[in-house]
Amino acid sequence: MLGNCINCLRLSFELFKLSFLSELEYRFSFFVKVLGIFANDITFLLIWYLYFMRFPDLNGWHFKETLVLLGLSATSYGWVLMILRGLTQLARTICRGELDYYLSFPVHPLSLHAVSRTDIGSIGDILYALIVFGLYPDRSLAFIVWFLVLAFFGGLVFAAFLILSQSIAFYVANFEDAAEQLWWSMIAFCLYPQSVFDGALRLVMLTVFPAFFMCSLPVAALLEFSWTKLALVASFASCFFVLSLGVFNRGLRRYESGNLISVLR
Amino acid sequence: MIPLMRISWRREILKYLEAARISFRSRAAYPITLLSRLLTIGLRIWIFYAVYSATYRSVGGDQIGGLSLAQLLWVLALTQSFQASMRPPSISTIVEEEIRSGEFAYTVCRPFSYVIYHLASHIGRSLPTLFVNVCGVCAVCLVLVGPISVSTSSVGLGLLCLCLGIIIDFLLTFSIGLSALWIEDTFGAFILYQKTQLVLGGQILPLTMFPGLMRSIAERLPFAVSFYSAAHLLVDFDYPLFWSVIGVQVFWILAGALIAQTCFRRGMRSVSINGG
Repeated sequence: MLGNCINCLRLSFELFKLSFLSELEYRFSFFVKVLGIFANDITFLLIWYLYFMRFPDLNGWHFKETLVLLGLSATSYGWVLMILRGLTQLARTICRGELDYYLSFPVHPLSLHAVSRTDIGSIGDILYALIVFGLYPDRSLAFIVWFLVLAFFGGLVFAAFLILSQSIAFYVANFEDAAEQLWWSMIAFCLYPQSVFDGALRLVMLTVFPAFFMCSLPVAALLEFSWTKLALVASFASCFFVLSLGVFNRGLRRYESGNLISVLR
Repeated sequence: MIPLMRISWRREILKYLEAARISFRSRAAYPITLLSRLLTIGLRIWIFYAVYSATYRSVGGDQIGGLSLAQLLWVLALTQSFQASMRPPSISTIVEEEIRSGEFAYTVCRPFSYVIYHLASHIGRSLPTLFVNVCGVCAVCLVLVGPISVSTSSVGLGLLCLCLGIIIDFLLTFSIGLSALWIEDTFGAFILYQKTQLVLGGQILPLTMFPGLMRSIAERLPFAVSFYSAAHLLVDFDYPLFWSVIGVQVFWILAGALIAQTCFRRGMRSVSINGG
């Protein structure tokens, strides 16, 4: 198990390096791409800056809290999309019967598929997080460490959600587009001040789209330096990740091959 | 001579109508895809409702920037539904893929205008999504804030502005797609356009909430007149606003056509077509 994990990490690093170098072949496109992702994040910063200029208080949230939310969310989904971009294509691979290729390797097909694609443009998300750090008044080492730990667990929740939602493709045909819409919806919850989510919307965030554990709770844990909240985020992320792996493995039994591998004798 | 010209024009139009029809049918063939996109928009509108109802509560008034909560939500919902109906796939991605695969060289040789062919396909492709999205967001808005009063003229003239807005958005994204002839990957350029549209196009924060100078600049840019202005006119019609929007839209259609045509002509110089 541990050996498998180390192999996957090594493979991930090699694939990431390869992807980075191939992206650098077209430098102009690479920089425009990074700039595009960066602009994507900065857009929401600008929107909320304009909003809080006019309405300084939104149910107890101010621009400062929103800064933390946007920085933490961008880093959480940024690292997943940068290293494990393949997870967003899982439903497509399943629907087209192309998982055969990944099944022929001596590592778990999910881990190989996850690292088979990287998105170097997501460096823009990390650049954005740095800007947020620059704007945020608290720049202590403790804050940075908490930020990184919570971003890791937030990303783990996002990765688990990706695995779970994309695995629906084992049971429902032509699910690729719907699976993509699901993860965009999950991200959508992380871009708005969390104080406005209550009632039925909060229930949705706790169940169907567990964005509460991806951004609401991590932001609260970061702002208050609460160990209890950190433990809650970490335990939910771990359990949810294990559950998503179980769903994938169960779905794999229903997988119908596209007969894409031919063995030569 | 005149009857022959008429026949030729009719044939030309029929070609583009056929391109639109094919795109329409291929998009309408996947209802799950159409409905899944509606889910995202519906969820976003629900979030907008949560954000803006809290805003209106904190301000304490019935209106902000001349719009009530119900009107504001309808404007945002319609803007979102119009914009989301145009993509994915965006026309820039389609053109870029044609250029990368080499299909571009075959398509430009065919006996029709490359630009008008793509415009017709784009409209055909967008119509089923537009229909589903508009019906869906109307249902969501009715549940959340109830109906608003609209007149026949506001619907008619608002739809006219929407048609012109679709053309503006098409011309600009089409030009971005054509830039693949020089910059290989247009993803970054497109996302820059899309995100500028998100901020200055009033898709999350309505232009009525912008600071004075920024608002007057945004109202003159193509991002707002693409979809937001049409949605605003549909919900809260005003003749002076209508004429001002039409003026800006005509300007950007001419400018967009010039940019697209220049990109196309210059790009054609770098395309080599071999027989076979």
